[in-house]
Order: sequence, then structure tokens, then C-alpha cells
Amino acid sequence: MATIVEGSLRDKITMRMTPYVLLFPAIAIVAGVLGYAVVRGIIMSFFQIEVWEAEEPFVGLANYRTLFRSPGFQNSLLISLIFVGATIVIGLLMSLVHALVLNQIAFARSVFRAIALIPYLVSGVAAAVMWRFLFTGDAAIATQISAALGGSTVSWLADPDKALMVITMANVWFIAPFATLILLGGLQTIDPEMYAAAEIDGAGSWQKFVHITIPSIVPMLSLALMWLSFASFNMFDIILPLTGGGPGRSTEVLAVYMYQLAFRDLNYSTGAAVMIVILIINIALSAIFLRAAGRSRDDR
Amino acid sequence: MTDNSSINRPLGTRVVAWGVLLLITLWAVLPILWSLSASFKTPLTLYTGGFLPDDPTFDNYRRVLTSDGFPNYMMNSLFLALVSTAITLFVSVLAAYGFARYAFRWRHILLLFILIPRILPRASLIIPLYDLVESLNLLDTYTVLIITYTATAVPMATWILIGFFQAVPKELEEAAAIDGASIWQRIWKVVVPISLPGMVTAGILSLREAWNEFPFVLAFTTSSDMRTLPYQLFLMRDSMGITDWPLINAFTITTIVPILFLYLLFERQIVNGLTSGAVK
Amino acid sequence: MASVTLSGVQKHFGALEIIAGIDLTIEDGEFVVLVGPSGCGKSTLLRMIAGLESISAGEARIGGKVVNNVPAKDRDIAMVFQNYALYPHKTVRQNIEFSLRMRKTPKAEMDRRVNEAAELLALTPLLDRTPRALSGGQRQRVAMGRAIVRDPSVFLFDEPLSNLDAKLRVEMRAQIKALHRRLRATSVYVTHDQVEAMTMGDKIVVMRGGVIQQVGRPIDVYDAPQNLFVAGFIGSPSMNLMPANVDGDGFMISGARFGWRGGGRPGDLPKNFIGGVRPENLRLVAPGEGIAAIVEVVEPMGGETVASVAVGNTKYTILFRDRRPLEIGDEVFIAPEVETMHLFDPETESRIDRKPRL
Repeated sequence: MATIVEGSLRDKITMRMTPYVLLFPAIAIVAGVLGYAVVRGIIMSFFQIEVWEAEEPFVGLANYRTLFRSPGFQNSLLISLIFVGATIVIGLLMSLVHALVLNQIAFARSVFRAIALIPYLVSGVAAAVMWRFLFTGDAAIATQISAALGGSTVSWLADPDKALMVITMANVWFIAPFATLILLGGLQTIDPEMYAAAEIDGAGSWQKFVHITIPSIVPMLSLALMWLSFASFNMFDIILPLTGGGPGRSTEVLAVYMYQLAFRDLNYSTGAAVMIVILIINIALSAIFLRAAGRSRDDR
Repeated sequence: MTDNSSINRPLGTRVVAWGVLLLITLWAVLPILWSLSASFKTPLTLYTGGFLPDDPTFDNYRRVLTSDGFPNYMMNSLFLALVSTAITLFVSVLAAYGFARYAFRWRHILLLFILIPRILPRASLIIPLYDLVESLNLLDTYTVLIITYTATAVPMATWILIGFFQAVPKELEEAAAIDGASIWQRIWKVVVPISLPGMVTAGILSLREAWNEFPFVLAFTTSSDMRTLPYQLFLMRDSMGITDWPLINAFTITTIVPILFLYLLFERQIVNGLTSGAVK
Repeated sequence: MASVTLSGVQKHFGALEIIAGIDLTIEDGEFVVLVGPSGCGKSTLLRMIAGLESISAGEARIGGKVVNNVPAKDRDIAMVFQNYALYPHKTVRQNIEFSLRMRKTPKAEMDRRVNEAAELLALTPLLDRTPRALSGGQRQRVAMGRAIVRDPSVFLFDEPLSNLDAKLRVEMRAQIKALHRRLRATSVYVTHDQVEAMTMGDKIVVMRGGVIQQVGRPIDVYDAPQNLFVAGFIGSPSMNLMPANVDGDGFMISGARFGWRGGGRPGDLPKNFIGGVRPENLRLVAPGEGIAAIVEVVEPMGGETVASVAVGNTKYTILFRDRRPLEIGDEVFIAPEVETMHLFDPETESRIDRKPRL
């Protein structure tokens, strides 16, 4: 690496310090804000913090016990799992198909590629408002379509099951484009000669897809999976403006539950405990994905 | 390369591919087009005329632009986005250079600092940070928003820039060192200009991050003077008894247009920058 | 202008030793070529002189001043890189003037020097282009221009011609030589190509494994290689190294006996030795007067013919200064020119000097 001599005044020690000096501002601000928040969150979750009480007694795992027993939390965990699971399945399939067809076409590819990423640029709030508009009111486009197909005319956002479907669709719309981009990047690195060789070996389209395309993009697939699951688990920007967690608590995913707990019920310590739960789930998920990606890479 | 392969494909496959592509593309733009269309309608004509408004009106946009506080919200969003992006780029360039060019003892642990924030539940940070922000008297200040926006944008910007900086041949820097450039000059006069596409990508993505941010501004500000566009949009969403959808849609489109404009201007760099970063 | 002196210079990366302890003096105005196979440490040594690598032990001086801790920019050197290292975002002019800009040279002075250098290298019409729009040879010249404009006391070249095609390489070789004659600047030139070394250097330094094998004028190194490595490395095609043993007042190679002829028998020759014979000094002789060999490869090059022959499992190369109608599979008889044969000790691998001719 760089051993460019930096001068007699800045001797060896200074040279060795250079990378740390360069990194310091970034690490300081990231650790100062995000690192602090995580550590403080962990600590908070072990104490009983009441807004009007000066005393903040240590309660150990009591917040977590309360949390796991609370129906609200159980409900949110379940909703989150459905929400994340559905997003991953639909989002991954859709982004894979999207990336494949984008990689296939020759005409106007860059135009379609440019359009593909547009939802990613919209703010979560704006996305939520647009989706709310699609589904709100008797005359909303979605309600009309539903009615035309002979379905219910009740606004989708007023129906607990359908509301969950709507936030899932909005979420897929919002976050899948980035997964498409990741997968497209993977597809573009596949050497076309591999396909040529496989064709000469007698492979059909499906065999090429199974034996060349998929194995070649496994790292990108796991990256896309990670993106979809983290973005969904942490999703807040879309759901709060779109449904606010309702109707009832039918769309109250963990992130929204946590926000309501802390800022509506002013129950900071339990809110912090939810944050830690989400964090642990995320870390566990990333470990699983990374291990799976690593294993499949070793196999090849 | 791949272009040739599509020519060899049977017609049926190509028709299916195009069909699927058009369908997904429609899915991606439909909510935006629907909103755009509604923004040119009136509450009365809202659900008539399909996509093309019968009697398009710019009145909603006029109302948005002249509404109380709008210039203020716009300036807040713009100011926060520009300042936090400038700081983000400055800080990230240094860090990315450190990671790209030096092998040092704590490299891997420090790299985690760049990676872990990507899996942090962002909205949840506001709970533990709230106390701190309050005790530092930073509620309702630009400072806290700039700091938190920067902190969340730095990891991603650094990550993108590392890839670009690694691609700059080491010899160029050696040549510059011999030419008399200090490490500072090498970074800003050689490495950064060569990595311009990376700077554009990182810059626009942190602009996007700050421009679209919602949880922090929701939690750390209460005064209407501090509102940003997304926050105002959130409040508009249900503050009125009867929802004025044309107005809200015009507001939505107004918040989207600047970032969309920047994106379309630099689409090639951004998409290439993101894919090459992701592949690494 | 300045001399460069290395005394006991070493480089290690951890336990790995790259440069073992180099002593070398490069005189003021001299053109010295560091040559050796890849991995021999020649580039590392050059980079240590440049200040791009730190010096683990020993001392480097430029113009008498110890520079171990002097940063590259303050060593008053210029360097031409293998890949030219041109700044892609700057025009040719900006590339050339970058170093002057870094030194805050006045604008008028800067322009004068850039124009002068451009003139010298025929770059004037290209000054406003970017490197992208230049051919390989043109880029090479820009890299030279960037070095020249500095008017440094030492020029360093790191395999500057290896990315050019053969014809351009020969041209640039001549150009660099001409430039050196004109500027008389101390130059250190690294290459793995011994032809480049032979044709360009006032002095060549043959290196292997971080150790200097031999230093001298190219022709002296060619005529008197100090060890088997130098013998095999310098000269193209390579010298034939023929295992031999003393036999009375003559010697045997692969069953054939030869006398010492005019050269006389060297004094302290071990029983077994290695006879080094340049391909042009290997002759065909009448059957029975030399070593029986089978022709394996014939390369007719027009005016010359190179043949590779096999004696058992050993291959030797013969260079004929004319056309030879040799066929693959022919049996030939070969004999070394004894007067010009180099003698090496197979144990120490070093040269055994002959006694003066009697």
C-alpha cells in the first residue's frame, strides 16, 4: 500500500497515523450519532424511564419481559413478519424478473433502466401519499377496479387485511427498484461467452438460467435479499403517513409500534427495547444471508 | 454482447420479455403519473377523465407555491440537503481515501462502522437520540438535523467512494507526489477529479437522503419554521377535514421534481456508480 | 544535476527481504540501467530512490545529501512510469505543467518551459488534448515531457517503453538516448529487457533476488559476465552453458574432446567446470571433430539463422551469420570456439578468469 515517504518532519509515526486522521471525522460523526444511539438504546432498555420521574431505576430484562407478553408487540411482530416476508418474496421475484428483462432488451435499454430506479428517488412520505391517493375514497382507482371486477367496494385502506396488502405493495414499489439495480449489476458481469459455451454444450434457456445465471449472481441475490429485508424491517416512512398503523393495529409493524410506544405513549424504555429487538433480528438476518452467500460461493 | 444474444432469441421470447418489461415499467410509474394527473384536476373533476385531465389547471401548483410557509419549507429542505451533502462529501472523501489506500491495523473493525449503519433501524434512532438532543438544547435547530443527516449519509457515500478511489491507479498519485503534490493535494486535485462520477453518485444520493428524510425532522422539530417539505406533506395528508387531493398531489409532485431532475441529469453515472459499487 | 549514491540500502516487508543491501554509485550525468528478471527488486530500488518506498536500512544520497526521509517532491527528481500515469482529467498542457504549478512557478515561466518541452518532444499540436485522445507513443512522450519540464537533477524511468509495440519501442529508445545526450541529466532506467539495457545504458546494473550481480559498461558485462546468471541473462539468444570437465591438457564436453588451443590452459580450473559459449561462437564442424547433436528447431531470419540443437536432453543454440539450409532431424557436429569461451565454477557459479594469453 501507500508508503510514499511523507517527509522528515512527519516521521514514521505520523505516517502511520495518516489513515486514522483521515478516518477520524467520518468515524466520529457515525459513532457519535449512530453508535451513541445504539449504546444508549441498549442502556435505556434496561432501565425504567418515565417522563415525569427523576428516578430511572435499573430493571434488567423487565422491559423485554413486558414487551414479549404485550399483545401489541406480539401483533406487531406478526405483522412485521408477514410484511417483510411478503415483501421479500414479491420484491425479489419482481426485481429478478425486472433485471432479467432489462438485461435482455437491446432497444432503449438505458431509458427503461433510468425509469426503473425512479421510485427509489421519491421520499417515503411522497410515496405513501401517492399510494394513499390510489386507495382512498369511494372513487379511488383501486376501489373502482375492484368494483369493476365484482369485488368489494369498501376502501382497501379501511379493511385490515387489504390495508396490509396495500402497505406491502407500496413497500415493494418503493424498495424493489434498488434490488433490481443490484441484480442488474450482477447480470452485467456474467461473461457472454459462458452462455455461448453452454449453448454449444446443448443447454436450453431454462438450463442456462439455472446453471449459469443464478449461480453467477448468488452474491448479488443475497445482497438484494439483505436490502429488501432490512429496508422492510426498518420501514417507517411509508407506513406512518399511509395508514398510521391502522385500521386498528392491522398495519402496525415493529418500527411504527416502536414510534407510537415512545412518542405517543411516552414509554421510552420499552420503545428502546423494541429497537434492540429489531436490531438483533437484522443482525441475525445478515449473518444468515452472508453465511448462505459465502457457502454457495465456496461450493462453486 | 448481451445485445447480440437478444437478436438470436426466438420472437416469442422477445415478445414476452417486452410485455413483462412494459408491465413492470407501468407499475413503477403508475402511482406517479396518477398523482401527476390529479395535480392538474380540481376536487370536482378528480375522478373523471382518466389519466388525461379534461380541463387541466395549474391552479393547484399556484396554490402550493404561494401557500403560507411553502418558501420557508422549501428553503429548509434545500439548505439542509445542500449543507449536509457538502459535509458528507468532505468527510466521506477523506474516509474513503483512508480505506482505499491504506492497510492499517483497525481497518476491518473500522469498516464495520461504515457497514453496520446500513442495517440500523433508522427510525428507531430517534428514541435514544431524543434525550441527548433535548439535553443539548438542539431541538428545533438546523444543527441537529445536519448532524443526523450527515451521520446517516456518510456510511453510504464512503462506501461508494471507496470503490471509485480504489480504481484510481496508484501510479497517478505517485506521479503527483513526485510532481510535488502533498497528500491533501493528491486527494483533492488528482483522486477526486478522476472519481467525478463517484462524487456525483455519492453527492446525489446524499442529497436524496436529506431531501427525503422524515423520522428525524418528525422527532426533533416542533416549530413550523423548521418544517421540511416531506414533513409538511405528512401534515397536509390528514390535517384537513375533506382531503384536497389535487393540492396534495401537486405538493407531492413539487417535492419529487428537483431530485428527479438531478437524477435524470446524471442517470448514467448514478446507475453505473451504484451497480459497480454493489458488485464489489 | 547530481550523483546518486546508495550505501547498504535494504528493503524488507516484514520478514520478507526485497533488497538485500545495495551499494551503488551513479555518477553525475550518467545513464544507468537497472536490469533483471521480474521480481529482482529493480523497480523497488528505483522507487526507493524516488521516495515512493521507504528505505528499511542503509542510506540513499542524491547530490551528496541523504534523502532517506525526504519526501519525493523535495528530492528534485522526475519519474516516467510504465503506464505513464497521466492525469486523465487534465489536458496535455495541464499534465506537463502540474509539477510547476505545485511549485508555484510564475505563469510566464511556466508557459515558457512547457512550450520548450513540448517543442522538444513534438507535442506542441497536442497540448490541448486529453490523454484519452492520444496514441500510446504520444502518451509516452507526454510522460517524458512532464519529466523534462521540471529540469530535475535525476530522471527515473520505470519500464517506460514496455507498453509500446516493437517498432515504436526502438524509436523511443533512440529518442530517449538522444534526449539524454542533449540534457546530460543523471538517469536511472529500469527494464527487464536486456536489449534495452545494452543499447541505452552508459552503465548497467544486473540484479537478481535483490542483489546486484554485476555492474559495468554494457559491453564489459557482455564480454565478461561475472557469474552464470549474468552470462545467461545478458545476450540474445542466451549464452550456451555447457557442462565440461578437464581431461589432460584439454577438456571434454558430452564425450567430445577439445584442446585449449591458443588460449592456453587456465590455471586453477576445477575438474568440472561450465563452459559458456555465445550462440555465435558455437560452430559446426566435420563429423567426428565435435559433439554430435540433432537439429530440433530452425529459425531462418533472413540474414541470420538461429538453430536449436539437442545433445541428449540438453539444448544448445547456434547463431549463424548467414543462411543455413538445415533441416529438422539433421545430425550435426558442434564445437565451441575455445578462445572466446567463458569459464564458470559450477559450485560457486562465478567466473573463472583465464590467465593472460601465452
